[in-house]
Amino acid sequence: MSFSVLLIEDEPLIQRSLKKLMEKRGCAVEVESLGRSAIQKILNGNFDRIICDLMLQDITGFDIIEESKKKYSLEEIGQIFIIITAYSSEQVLEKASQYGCCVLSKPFNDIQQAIEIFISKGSQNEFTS
Amino acid sequence: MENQGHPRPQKLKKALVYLAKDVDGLARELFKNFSLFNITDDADSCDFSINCDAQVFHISSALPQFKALDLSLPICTKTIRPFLSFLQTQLQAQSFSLEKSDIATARKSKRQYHSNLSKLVSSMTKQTKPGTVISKAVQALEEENWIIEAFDESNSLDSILDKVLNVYGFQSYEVCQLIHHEKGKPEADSYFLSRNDDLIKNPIPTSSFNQLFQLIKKSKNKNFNQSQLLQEQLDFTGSFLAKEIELKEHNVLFFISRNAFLPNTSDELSYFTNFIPVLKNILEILLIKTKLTDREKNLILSLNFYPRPIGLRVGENFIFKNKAFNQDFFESKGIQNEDGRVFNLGYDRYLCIWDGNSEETITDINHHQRISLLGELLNTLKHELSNPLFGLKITAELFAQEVSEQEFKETLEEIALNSGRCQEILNNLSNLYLDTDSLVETNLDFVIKETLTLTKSETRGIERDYINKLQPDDLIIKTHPTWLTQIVFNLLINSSQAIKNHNRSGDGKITVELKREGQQLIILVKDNGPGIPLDQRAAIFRPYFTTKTKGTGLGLAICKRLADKLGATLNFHHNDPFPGVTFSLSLTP
Repeated sequence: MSFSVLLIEDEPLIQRSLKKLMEKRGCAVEVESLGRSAIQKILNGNFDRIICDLMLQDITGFDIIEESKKKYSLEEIGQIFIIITAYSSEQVLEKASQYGCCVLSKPFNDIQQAIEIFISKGSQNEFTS
Repeated sequence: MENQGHPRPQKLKKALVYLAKDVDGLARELFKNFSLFNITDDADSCDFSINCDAQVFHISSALPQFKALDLSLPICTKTIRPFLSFLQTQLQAQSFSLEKSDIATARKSKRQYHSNLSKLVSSMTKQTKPGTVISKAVQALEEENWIIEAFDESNSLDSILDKVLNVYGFQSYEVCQLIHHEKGKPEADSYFLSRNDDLIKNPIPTSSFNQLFQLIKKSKNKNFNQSQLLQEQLDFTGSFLAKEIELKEHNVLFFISRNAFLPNTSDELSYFTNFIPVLKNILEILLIKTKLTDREKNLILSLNFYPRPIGLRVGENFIFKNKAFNQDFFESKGIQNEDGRVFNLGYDRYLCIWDGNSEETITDINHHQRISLLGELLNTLKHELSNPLFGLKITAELFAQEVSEQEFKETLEEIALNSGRCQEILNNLSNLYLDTDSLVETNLDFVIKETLTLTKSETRGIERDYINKLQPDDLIIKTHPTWLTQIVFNLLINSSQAIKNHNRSGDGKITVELKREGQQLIILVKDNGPGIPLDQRAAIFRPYFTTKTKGTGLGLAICKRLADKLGATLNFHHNDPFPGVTFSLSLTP
């Protein structure tokens, strides 16, 4: 079965491109722009990886992670979630580290490397930038 | 209904300020530009008036709330505008003036006070034998005067009970208690006084207070004894009189007892009944007074955070010193105690401020405000633009890999490249406006180029030339890029405005040059504008000096100050041949 990814990102061009790049690598990618519908997808679906933007139109990525606690343990959250954000302040990094999530700052310096991180299985912490 | 659910923003009424004739020139301009108040020509109907005496402004107020505070003369000099505006903000933030309803309540209380007082006094003369009427009447008049005098002096609840026990009608009582609760506060305050003893103050939980309050309110009789109200908060033996008083923002319970089991007579009861309205008026006025003193305290509290030492003296003794008022400050800045400025506030009170070179303070604060505003703006811009730019870049890159037609491929690559370039400009700009105090390795060529980009629209229609005569090795220096950019930016803006105002159509030109002279690296900004008139040359670096109609007069003052901070010198000379002026910034790497 292919690696299934949920990409939560509200910038349409980024969403499309990342989806396409991951699909090229054989992933099954679902996309979502709004936080609330993303939460529904997370609770009802079964994803190997959830890539989540922090600043969404309705809620923040951290709200999504908080809601996902209903389904996943903290350890699982650290494994499954990857945060991508243009606002990588120290506070954001600190909060993300509480969840044990990997954080990638947008814009990515090297897109191919970012894709590698997205589709890698297991812990991503070694990639944390 | 359109405003449902949204609290209406409170509109602040602007104060009317009258400027006396001796407030002239620059100072007058300064006050006029102050958006916090309106200037009036009518000295009689103003809220504040400002006089000037040897550079010290005396601001006085006809408003009753300022008179009540003895704060009637806050005084500032024209050179401490930051402090003045700070003070004004504070006054506004604390909404220092009383609300209208408060003033109305106080007035109403004052009126009622006298009529209630005469009712109280006439109750003393009733029910007495005809022969004693006259002596009673005299006594009653004395009593009236005594009450007026005694309570007019009171400034806090602490002193009220002592006065109550000394009221003629209560001479046979031993103890009294007052419990005061400001609505919304978690605790009520109890004041308990026994004759010949000190006042005992302690807090009471709001819940117990409310219980007690309701009990007393429901009771038709004012006569109580312990079996009815055995509360641990009350300290009486035997029977006592009690009454609740409801005020706008406060609830008060008043108790008085003989500490004996003798029941109260009907005369005593009627005196008590008549005394309550008087007490109510007294409390009402008093609590409004304390509200103002509380605000004064808040103001003093906030002066604590003013970055320079401020002290308040009564005679020779300081009764207040703010946080910055410590030995460290005086030592580190090499400021002598005597260097402070002293303002006479009247009533033997003096406000002392050590604001060092006040002109430095002004430019520092203004500069800081500009930078932090710009920094914030750039930060928002950077984040808002980064995301879509990044989207453009990766999409274009992705498609460029997929299309085979050469022309499309190149166009897409071009889009990706340009998106990247935009991103780079954004990053560079926000790096230039870092709000730090540390020195970083900076490329002068880069600073000039970025600043020229920044001023592109401002200098539209003016020919610009950039000459870099420095060796590549000289270009990198350790400096503060934000300050440096700010200086060059201001100089460029100044030059372009000078050219535009001079109405030279088409042949305006600004030249920026980098060169080395001995040990110094020099940045020249040269224009062919009208130059600077002889009589203004000495003044151009002074804060608030401007020749522009919309200028703040801070641009060059800030440049000069920043140059000082960088250890650089900023000078100017007229071009030879005329026209125009050249500003030169000499940096020592």
